[in-house]
Amino acid sequence: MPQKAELVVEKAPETTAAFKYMGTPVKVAEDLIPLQGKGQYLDDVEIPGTLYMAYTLSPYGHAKIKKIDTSKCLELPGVHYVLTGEELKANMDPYMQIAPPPSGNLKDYPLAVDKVRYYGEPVAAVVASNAYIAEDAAELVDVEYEPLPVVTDAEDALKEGSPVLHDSVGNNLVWRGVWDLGDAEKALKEADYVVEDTVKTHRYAAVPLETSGVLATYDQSVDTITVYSVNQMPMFSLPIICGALRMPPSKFRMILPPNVGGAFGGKIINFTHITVVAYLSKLLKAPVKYVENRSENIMSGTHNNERIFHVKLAVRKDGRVTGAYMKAVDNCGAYPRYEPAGAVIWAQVVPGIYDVQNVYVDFSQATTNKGPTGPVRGYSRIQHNFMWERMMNRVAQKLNMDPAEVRRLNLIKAEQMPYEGPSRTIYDGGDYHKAFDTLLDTIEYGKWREKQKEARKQGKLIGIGLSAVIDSGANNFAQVKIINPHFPASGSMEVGLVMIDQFGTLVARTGTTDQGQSHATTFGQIVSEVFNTGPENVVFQQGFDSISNVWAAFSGAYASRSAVMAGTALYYAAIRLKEKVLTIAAHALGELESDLEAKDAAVVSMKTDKKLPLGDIATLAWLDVNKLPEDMEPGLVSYAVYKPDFTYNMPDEKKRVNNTLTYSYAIHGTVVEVDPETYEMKILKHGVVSDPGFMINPLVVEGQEMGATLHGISAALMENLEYDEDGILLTSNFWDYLVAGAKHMPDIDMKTIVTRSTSSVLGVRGVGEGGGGPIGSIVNAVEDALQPLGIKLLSSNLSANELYSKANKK
Amino acid sequence: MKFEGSREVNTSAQAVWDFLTNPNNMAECLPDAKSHEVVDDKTIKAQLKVGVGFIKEVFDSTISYSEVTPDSKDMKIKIDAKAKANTATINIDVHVDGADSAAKLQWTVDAVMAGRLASIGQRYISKVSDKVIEQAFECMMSKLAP
Amino acid sequence: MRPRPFLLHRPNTLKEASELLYSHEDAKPLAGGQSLIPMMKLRIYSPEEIVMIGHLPEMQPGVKQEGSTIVINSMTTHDMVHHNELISEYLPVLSEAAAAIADQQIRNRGTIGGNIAHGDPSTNLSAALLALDAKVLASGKDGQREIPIDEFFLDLFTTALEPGEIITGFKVDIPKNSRQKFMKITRSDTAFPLAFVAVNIQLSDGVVKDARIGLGVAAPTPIRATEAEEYLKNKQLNQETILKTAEMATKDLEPPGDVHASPEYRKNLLNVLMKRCLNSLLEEVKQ
Repeated sequence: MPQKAELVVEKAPETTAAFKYMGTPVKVAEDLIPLQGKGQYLDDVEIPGTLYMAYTLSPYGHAKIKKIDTSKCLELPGVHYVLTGEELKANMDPYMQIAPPPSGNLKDYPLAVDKVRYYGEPVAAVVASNAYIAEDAAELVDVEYEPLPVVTDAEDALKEGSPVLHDSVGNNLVWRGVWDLGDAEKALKEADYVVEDTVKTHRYAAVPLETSGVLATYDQSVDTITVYSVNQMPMFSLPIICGALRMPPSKFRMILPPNVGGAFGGKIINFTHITVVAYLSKLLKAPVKYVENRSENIMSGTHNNERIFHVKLAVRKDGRVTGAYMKAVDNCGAYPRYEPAGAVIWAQVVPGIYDVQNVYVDFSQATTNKGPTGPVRGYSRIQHNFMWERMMNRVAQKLNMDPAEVRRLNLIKAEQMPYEGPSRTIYDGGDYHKAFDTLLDTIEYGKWREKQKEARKQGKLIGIGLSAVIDSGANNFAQVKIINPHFPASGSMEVGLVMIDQFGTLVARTGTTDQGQSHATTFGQIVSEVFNTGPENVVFQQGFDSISNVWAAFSGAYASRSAVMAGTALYYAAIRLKEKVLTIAAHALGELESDLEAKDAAVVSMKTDKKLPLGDIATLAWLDVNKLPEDMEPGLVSYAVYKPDFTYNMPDEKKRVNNTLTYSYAIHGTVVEVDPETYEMKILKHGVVSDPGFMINPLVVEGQEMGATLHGISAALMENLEYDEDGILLTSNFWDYLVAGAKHMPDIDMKTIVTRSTSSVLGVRGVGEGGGGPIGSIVNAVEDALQPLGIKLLSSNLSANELYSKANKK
Repeated sequence: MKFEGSREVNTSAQAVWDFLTNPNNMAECLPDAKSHEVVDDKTIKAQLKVGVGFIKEVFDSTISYSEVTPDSKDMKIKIDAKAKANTATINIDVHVDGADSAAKLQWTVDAVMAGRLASIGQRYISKVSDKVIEQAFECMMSKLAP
Repeated sequence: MRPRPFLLHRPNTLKEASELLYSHEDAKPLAGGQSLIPMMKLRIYSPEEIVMIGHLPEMQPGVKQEGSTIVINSMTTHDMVHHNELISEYLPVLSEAAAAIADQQIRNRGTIGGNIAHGDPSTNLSAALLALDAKVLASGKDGQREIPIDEFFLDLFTTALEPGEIITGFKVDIPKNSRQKFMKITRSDTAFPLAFVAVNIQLSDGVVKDARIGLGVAAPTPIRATEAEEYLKNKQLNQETILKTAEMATKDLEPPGDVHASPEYRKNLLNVLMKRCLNSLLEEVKQ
C-alpha cells in the first residue's frame, strides 16, 4: 500500500477561480432518486425464502428476568425459532468494551441476560415466516419479571446506594477522567469575578427517516455470512461483531445498499441487530431480515448524551474569560456501546470558539436505566458548545454587558490561526470575528435590540440569542486511548478508487457510504476536476460491499469526514490514474508526457493538438495490451489510501491530542417571541454564518448546514426523550416524540465566509454535524425574552409547558 | 403512580372486614372479568379485560391478600397483571375502621404500570387505574350494604 | 409495527354491516382509518374483526342543503369539509376545525364520521359539532335514529352508539346571525393536541342571543362550557364579558396531563383560546 510520502500531489489552489468543476454548485442529480421512490434501501433487498425477526421488548426500565417461557410462542404456526439472551450468552462473547476494568467488566449482549436495564430493551428474538407472524409471536414470549428500583439520572446513579445496573462492574461509573490544562485554579484565584452555574443538555435521538435494518444470509458451501446492513462504519463494527461471535472477519461479507435513508450517527451501535440476525441466519441456515419499527428506533436506536455541567468561569472585569473549571456528568444509558467515547469526544472543542487556555474538566459518565447512547449529529460537542454559549450569557449578565460584546471579546483572533487549544487541538484557520460580525449584520442585531426595548414596553416578550460553535470533523481515533491506552486504533484513513472502464468512463468508489450527503455529485466533481472533464463522463458507484469495494477499517460516513477524508483519497487516486493515462497516451501518440493534458474525456497534446479519447486509452490498457509501453501493468485502476497527519497524533499524559483534522465553525443568531399567555415560542428571525472552508459543491454544503440548523431547532424546541420515574419512555412514537419538519423551519438567513482549512489537502472542512449552534442561540433568545419575568433556564430543550410552570411558580 | 380512596359504609367495621377478606366477594366484583377462579382464601386468579371504552387489554391477573391483620383491620392486596406487551404491579393497603353502621373503608394504591400502554396511554392511565379500583370496592360495598 | 390478526368483512349493505357489528362483539367499523389503523399498528387496540363501511352507498362523501339544514355524509373527508362551500358559508367553525386536523395526507383520508365515532376528546370536529348543536345520524340493525350531539359523548372513548350502530352522517341546522371560530394549539400538526376551542354565538346588535362553546382535550369527553354559555346570553360582547366567559368556561376543568402539557397548563390554554376566539369574533363584528 503506497504511503502518503510517495504521492506527488499538487495542493489545491487557494481560490475557487482556478477550478472548473470543484467549487461550483452542480445540481445534485441523485436527489431525484429517493424523491421519485426509486431508491434501493435495505428493506427493498429481497431474497427468496427469507424469514423475519421481531423482538420481544422489556416493558420495564429495570427488572430481573425470573423466567422466560417460549412454549406459547413456538406453538404459533409459522414460528421457526425463539432466541433468548441465555442462548446467546452460551454461544457468543460479550461485546468488547472500550473502557478498562472495572467498567470494562460489563457484559453486554444484544439480548437481555438475567435482567432488563431499559424500557424497550430486546429480551427475545422471534423468527417466523413473515413479519406479521413474527410480531404476533414476539408478544407470546412469556417473561416473568421482578421489577427493580430504577435510576434515570446520571448524578443519582453515581451516588452511594443507587441501584446498580451492572453487577459485574459494582457501580454505575463507566469512566472518569480529569483534564487539567493550563492553570484553571490560578485563573479562578486571580479572577475579578467567578461566574458559576449549572447547565444541562437533554436527551434526544437521531431519528433518521429510514430506521436501522439487517438482512443476513448464510452460505454453507463457504461457511460465510453475508450481511446487508445500514451500519455507518461497517468495517469498524465488523471486528466488534466477529469478536463476539468468534468468527474471523473474512467469514463475513458486509454489504450496504446503494441508498441509506439518513443516519445522523444513529446507525453505528446497530451492530447488536447485526449480531443477532447473523447468528440466526447461520443457525437456521436461512436468510433472516429485521427492520426496526419507529418505536424501536426511538427507544433504542441511539440517544445522544445527556449531560450536566457545574461550571465556574474565571472572568476579568472587562469581560475576558481567563479560565474554566467544571465538573461534567454524562448519562450513558444502560449500555456503553460506543461509549464512553463521548467522554473524550467533547475535548475536540475544549475552549469552544474562545481563547481560553486554562481549563479544568472533571468528567464522569454513568450508566442509567435509559436507552443506550452513542453518536448523534454533533456527538458530545453539542453539549460542550452549549455549555460555553450558556456560560457566555451568564458572564454578560454578571457584568451587565451585551452578550455579543462578551463573545467578541473572547473569540480566538484570525491572527492566532492556526490556533492551538489547551488540549492541542489545532483549529485550522478561520476568521471568527468576521463571521461573528457578519452574523450580527445578518440578523440586524442592533435594530432588534432597539425593537426589544419597545416591545417590552408593550408587554411583548422578544429575545435575541447568539451562539458560536465549533464543528470539528474527521476524527483521530487515538483520542479513545485517553480512556484506554490499549484501545487498538489510532489516527484515521480512507480509501478512494478511480478506474476507467473499457469505454472510457471514469468510475469512482470510496469506502464511505452515502446516507443522503450527495457523495456521487461531490466526489464526481473531484474526479472531473482532476481529469478536466464534465460530470457526464464520471460514474460514482454508491453502496458498499466488503468483497468488491475498497475499504479501510475506518471507512464510513460519520464524524463529518467524507469530504475531507474520502474526497482527498479520491483526489490522490485520480491524480495517480491521470499519470498513467498520460504515460499511455504519450506512448501511443509518440509525444512527451509533459506536452499532454487531460481534457474533456480525452488526452490532448498542447503541442500538436492531437487528441486521444479516454475510450481509446482504455482499449489499450484493458484489451490491446501488447501496445502498452513495455513493463507497464495493464488496466486503468488506481487506489489511494489517505492517512492524515494530525501533528499531535497521540494523546500525552495530560490527555492532549489533536482530536480531529478540521474545525469548521458557525455563528447562529435567533430572535424569538414568546407569547405571554400561552408561552409558545416563535422564531422571528434566524441567521447562520459559517465557514466550511473550500466548498467542493456549495449546494451540498448549504444542504448540510440547513439540515443541521433544522436539527438544532428541533432539538431545542421539540425533540425530547422523557422517561417517568419508573423508567418508562413517555415519548416512544411520533405522537409524542415530536420532530420538526419543513413546516417548522423558519426562514433561515444563511451566509458563508470561506477561509481554507490549513490542515486538509483540499482546504475543506467537515460540516456534516453543525455543532448544535441553534440550540444555544434559541435557549439564549428565549431566556432573554423572558428576562422581564425573571425566568432562568437550565436545559437545552424548551417547552411552553415548562415556561408556563416556571412563570406561575412564584 | 399513587392514589387513594375511601368509602363510608352503612354497617359495622367488622362486617366490612369480614366481607372484604373473603376472596369470593372480591372475585364477584372484579371489573370486566372474563373468567376467575378463587384458588384459596388468599388468592384469586382472573382474566380481566381492562381499559377505556373500546380500548381494552386482557390481563392475566393474580390477586393475593397478605398481612391480613384482623386486630387492626389492615391488609395488603397485591395485583400482578400481565397482558401482551403490558404489565401492572399494584399494591393496595386496605384499612377498615369506624363505628357501628358508620364503617369507613380506606385504600391507598401504589401502582407500577409498565409497557406500551404505560408509554402511550400516559394521559389516561392513572385515571383509569384509579377508577377501576374504586369500582371494585364500590361494587363490594354496595353488595354488602345496598 | 404491524396489527394483530383480524378478520376483514366487506358487507354489501349498511344493514349487513350493522348486523355484522351487532353480532360480533369485538368487531369495529373501518372508514378512513385515521384513528383505527394507527391504534391497531401500535397494538394498543386489536379488534378481532373489522367491518369495512367506507364503500357503502349511504356513507359516500357529500354535503347538501335540505331547507335550513346542512347534511354531511359520514365518509366526507376532512379536506372536503374544509373546502366545502356550504360548510365554509354556514358552518365556518367546522371548516376551520377540519383544516386544523393533522397534515394534508391525513385530511385526505380521515372522515368526519370516524373523527367522532371513537369518543376521543382530542378530535377537532367533536368540539365544532358540539358548538353547532349537530345531530348524529346513526343506523343500526333496527333502523335509523338521530342522536343529539349533546347526548353522544358518554365517557372516555365511549359514545351513545348502540351495538351495531354506524354513523352515516350529521345534520346541522344553519345557525342564524351566527359568528363562529375554531382555535387550536398544538406543538406539531400530527402530535396529540394541547387544547382547542370551538365557539358559535348568535349576535344581535352586539348582544349575544345564544352561545355554544365546545372544548377539546378538556375532560374525558369532548364537552361544552354550558355555564359560560348561559352567562354570555343577553350580554354585550366586550372585554369584561369575554374575560368572565373564559374564566367560567375553564375554572372547573380537570384536563388530562402529559409530557407536553400539565392539566394546569391545558386549562390556561383553554382559557386563552376562549378569550382569543371571542375577541376575534368581536373584531369581526366591529368591521
